[in-house]
This record gives sequence, structure tokens and C-alpha cells, in this order.
Amino acid sequence: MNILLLSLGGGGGAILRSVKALFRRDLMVTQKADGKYADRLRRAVSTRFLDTNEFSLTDIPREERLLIGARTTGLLGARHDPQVAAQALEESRAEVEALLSEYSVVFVIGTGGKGTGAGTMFPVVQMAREQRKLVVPIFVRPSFDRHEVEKRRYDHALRVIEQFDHAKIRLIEILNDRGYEESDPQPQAVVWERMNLPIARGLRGLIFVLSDLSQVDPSDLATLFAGEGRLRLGFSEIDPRPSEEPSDEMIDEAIRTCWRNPYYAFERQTGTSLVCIQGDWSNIADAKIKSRLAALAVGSHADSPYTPLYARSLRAPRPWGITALFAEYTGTHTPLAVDWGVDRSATPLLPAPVPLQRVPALGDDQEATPPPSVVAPSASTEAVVTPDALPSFSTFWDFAVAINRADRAALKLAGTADVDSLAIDGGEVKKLLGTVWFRAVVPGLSHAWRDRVLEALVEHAPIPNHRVKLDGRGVLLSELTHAQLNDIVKRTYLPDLARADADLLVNVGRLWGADALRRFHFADASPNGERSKLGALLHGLRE
Amino acid sequence: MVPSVADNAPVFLWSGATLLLMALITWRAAFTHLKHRRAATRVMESFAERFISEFERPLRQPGSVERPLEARMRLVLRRRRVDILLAPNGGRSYPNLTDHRKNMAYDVGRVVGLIADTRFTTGDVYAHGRWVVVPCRLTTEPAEEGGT
Repeated sequence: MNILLLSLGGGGGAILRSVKALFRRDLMVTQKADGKYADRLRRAVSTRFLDTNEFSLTDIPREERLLIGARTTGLLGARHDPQVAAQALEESRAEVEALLSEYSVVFVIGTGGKGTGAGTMFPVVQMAREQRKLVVPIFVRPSFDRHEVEKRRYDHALRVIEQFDHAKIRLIEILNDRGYEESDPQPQAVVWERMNLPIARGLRGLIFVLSDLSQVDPSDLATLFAGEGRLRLGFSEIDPRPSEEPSDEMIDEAIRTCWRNPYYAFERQTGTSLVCIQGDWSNIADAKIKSRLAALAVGSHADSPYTPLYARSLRAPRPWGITALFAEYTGTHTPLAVDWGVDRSATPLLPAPVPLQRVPALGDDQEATPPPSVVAPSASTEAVVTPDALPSFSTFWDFAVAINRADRAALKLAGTADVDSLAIDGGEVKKLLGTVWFRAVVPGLSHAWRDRVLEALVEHAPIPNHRVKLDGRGVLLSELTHAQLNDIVKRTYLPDLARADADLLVNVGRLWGADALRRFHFADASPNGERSKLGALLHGLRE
Repeated sequence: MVPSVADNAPVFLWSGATLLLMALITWRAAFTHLKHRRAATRVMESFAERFISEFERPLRQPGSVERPLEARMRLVLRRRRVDILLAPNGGRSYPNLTDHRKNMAYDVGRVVGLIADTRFTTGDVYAHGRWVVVPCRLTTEPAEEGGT
């Protein structure tokens, strides 16, 4: 998958220069530790600097420049006028659209201070959305109170942000006001580095996930980015001694740093979020990271919508740490239709030290990854589906994916009571319930289908009756109400196996109601209510 | 011979009626005056509240519950004038006329344009202590109670 980092105007260009420098530094470190990994990162990312003023791009390699509106501006800039910049973009629309079409994921970076960034930010993001790209807008709200811009320009920046909200496009909004700390005054260059570091480091983690979709279900990403609201990048390093586990203090500090990023606008509760963990430590450390981050995200809200998507890099070179992309919860939204399938050559971020060749993906030695479930169907595929065509799905998984794509035939079947037309494998349902996108599909099924899906799940296999801690005492999963399960999943450390089963029950309770939990059969895990370690390992192999 | 009350009955009757009529006229005039005054007050207060709310809206910072400015209104009903007094709050510097005169002129124009209430005109802003005063004047008769 190819990722484009695209800056708009002078302000966006300054940020991208800084991000690129930090990223290059990371790549050089990575190159020494793991050349293949560095090469993958290098080839996955391209940078382009869009501007209306050719003089502001003189330090940028020619192949990375994208000058727009030659006739409108004479390549002398937008005269600090967003309207002129918008006209320049319109003049060069075909060129910009052609560039966007080459990438699957586009990060668009702009500032609202003057002309080009403010005038092109929203239209460029819209172009990328229209091409079904996964687009991550990063927009800087300038500081009016600190005299960065006059009020007229500040208000224009706010209108750009309102356009995003109105169009239900999520964005990362950076508040320059927060860069001024009375208690810790610093030169502007230091402040910029401080503000840009989480972007550069965060992008490194995200790029790893996005360039290797076996790490996370693409449909989950399509859910994360759906709807309006803000996104917040978080990054923190964890640097344990070789062959040692990170200490609790290290983890606590990393979690706090990752969670607290004061430069971003982020007001509401945290919803679906992506958490990438990089580091060769045990799953115990992973579990601590997950549970402590969840505790911060959930806070004191009993009904918190926090839904973490975890991605794990087992062989990532240092610096290790946690990268997170938190999304504000703004309700339930239909997942975005994203075209993940494009894979063309990209301009490398750094000159490749070796001839370009296919480097095995990190997941190559793992089980083959199923094709992404949210792939924009080609025009010809859509054309052959007629309203009355008999739907034919080989598995329930295919059926669910088709519903998620809003396939007309699948939606029609999902609304009927014709539940015998398809065999449902309970094991498959169990796996599907672990994905965010499928949980958004279930409410759209008819009652008959929902009953049938639940029945298949219940009949699949009894659930191991794990013993878990509730208010300091041990209780069996079967004895817990849905509310108690919810609370335990969010607040308590659970071994992976117990967590998976508890998560399943919580999701069933959410989707089918608390009473549905009574239909499940529970099996004693072991005489003392817990599996042996060997049993747990074997269970892991069987999964 | 002392005239009896019965003899003067028409005089008393007419005097009483005249007094009653005068009282009614006075009462009606006072009532109308008070009604207009109340309507004018309501219209001017409503305008000032909308002005303050719209002026303040872009200045609010995400995640902050603190109001970005302090605001007061001063009604001079006799002159149909409402002065809107604005001052920075929470360690901010805007609004002020020392280094934001141009921004204030733009912002007042922006807010008045958004409210689009043609019954009001605004005068030149001026400073009064830490306050920036936006003088606004109601130029037409406000509608009766229940009107707009």
C-alpha cells in the first residue's frame, strides 16, 4: 500500500519538512537495525509539497513539488487570499486528482493562517474522499490571541474546520495556541519540534499498520475514520534494557505521554481508536499497556464507547513504544467505502540504498490474510448486480462483507427471513464479532437472521467458565451480568483467553440484549475454574 | 340656606366622571409608555445577548469551559441606546483597542452582519477602563408585546 504525505502551502510545507526530517532520522536508525523493515517504510511513503508560490519550494526536490494555478497566480503565491488559492486549485484540479489516484492513504497537512493552506485544505481532502482514499487531514488552527494571524484569517480557519464537520470528515486539528506555555517559554523552533514530534512519530507507527493491512482489519479502519469529529495522535517510547521487560513505571509514563497530547482539539469521549504496540516484550506487558490505556480512555464513564483496535509489531526496530490514533465518539456511522487495492510505485522518501526489490512483508510467514472486506467494488461488479438477482454467498463471512459494502443483493437478503439459504458457522461468527465493522452490520439484519446468527454462536461450543476478579472476589463468567462483564472488560486485567471470551459476551449483550447471555452454555475450564498453562497454549494453537 | 347635596349632584357627577376619565387617560398613557419601554428593553437586551454570543463563539477554545471574554450591557432607554461592554477573560488579550483596533472593527462588522437586525446602528467603539464599549442604537419603534 502506498501512502502520500501531502502538504498544502507554506505552513503545511514547514510541518512536512519537519516531519520528513524526523522520519528520515528514524529511517536511518532503523536501517542499521533492520534494513528490510527500513526499506519497506521508505518505499511505502511519498511526500509532495503543493504550493502556489514556486519560490517557497526552492529547497524541495523537483519531483516532490506540486505547483498549482500557474495562470491564476503566476506561481507567485495566492496573495494570502484563500479564494485565489481555491481558484488555483481548480485550475490544476486534474493534476492533483491524478496524484491522489496513485495512493491508497493520503495525509493532507495544511494550516489556516494565510492563503494556500486555508483555500485548498477542504477541497483537496474532498477530492481524495471522492476517490475513496483513506484520507487523514491534519489542519493547524493558528493562534489569534498570540498575534499569529488577524481575526479575519482566524475566522476563515474556523470556517474550514466547520466545513469538515459539516461534510462529516474526521480531522486532526492542531491548536497553535497550546504551543505557548507561560510556565515553560521556549523559542519557536523548539515549540515546533515539540509539536511536530508526535506527528512524525505517530505517522511512523501508523505507516507500519497502514502499509501492512494484515495488522488490522481494513474494515475496522474504515469504521474508525467514519463520521465527523476529531482525531488525536499519541506516541510514547518504551525503552527497556535488552532482554528485559519494561517496568511498571516505564509503562505508566509511556501511557501518560501517549494519552496526553495537549496540542490537539479533542473534546468528546474516545471512541474507536487504533493502538499500535511496538516492542519485543511479553504479552503481560502488552496487557498492562492495553488495560492502562483503556482505563484512561474510559475514565469515569460507565458506558464509555472506547473500542480499541490493536495492532502489534513483534519485530519492529527501536525506538519501541506505543502509537495511538484516538477518535472522538460522535455516534455510530456507516463505515467509509475505501479503495485499498491500489499498489503502484511511489517516489521514495529517501534514496534507496539497494535496488528496489520486493521485500517479504512482516506477515508473509503467517497465515494468508483474507482480502480486505471494505474494497470499493469496480463499476463492472456493480453493474452486473440487478435488484432481482439471486444472491449467492459461499460463506456467512462473504455475506457479512457484502452487507458491509452495501451490496444491494446482500442487503435485500439480510432483510428477509430466508435464513436457511446460507449455512452459518458459529466459529466464523465468533471471529466476526471481534471486528468493529461486523458489529455495525448486525443491527441491520432482520430478526430472523439475528436469531439464527446467535443460535449458531451458542451452538458452536460452550464458553470456558473462567474465574475472574470482581470487587476483590473470584466469580465465574457465567455468574456475571452484562453490566458486570462490561465493567470487568474495561477496568480489570484479564488473561488473553479470558478476555477474548469476556469480550465476546459483552458484544453479544450489546447487540442482542443482556438476556441473550442466558442462552450460552459454559464449560468448566479446569477443576479450579481456570485452564492449565499447557491447556491455554494448546487452545491458542487450535484457534 | 345651605345647598343640599342633592342640589349639587350633577356637579359632583360631572366632576367625578371627569376625574375618572383623566385617570383612565393617564393610566392608559402610562401603560402604553411602560409597554413600549418594556418592548424596547427586551429588543435591546436580545440584540446585546446575540451580539455577545456571536462575538464570543469563535474565541472559545476546544476543551475549555472558561469563557473567553467578560461581557456587560448598559441600557440607556431614554436614548434607546445599549452599550455592549467587552473585556478579555482568562489571561487572554482580546478584545482590546490597544493592539486590536482593526480586528475589533472587523469583528463588530462581522457580528452585526450575521445578526442582520436593521433596527440597530452601531457607533465607533471606544475604550472605557479595561472594557471595550460597542455603542448600539435602536432606530425604530419596537413591535408591540408578542410581536417581533
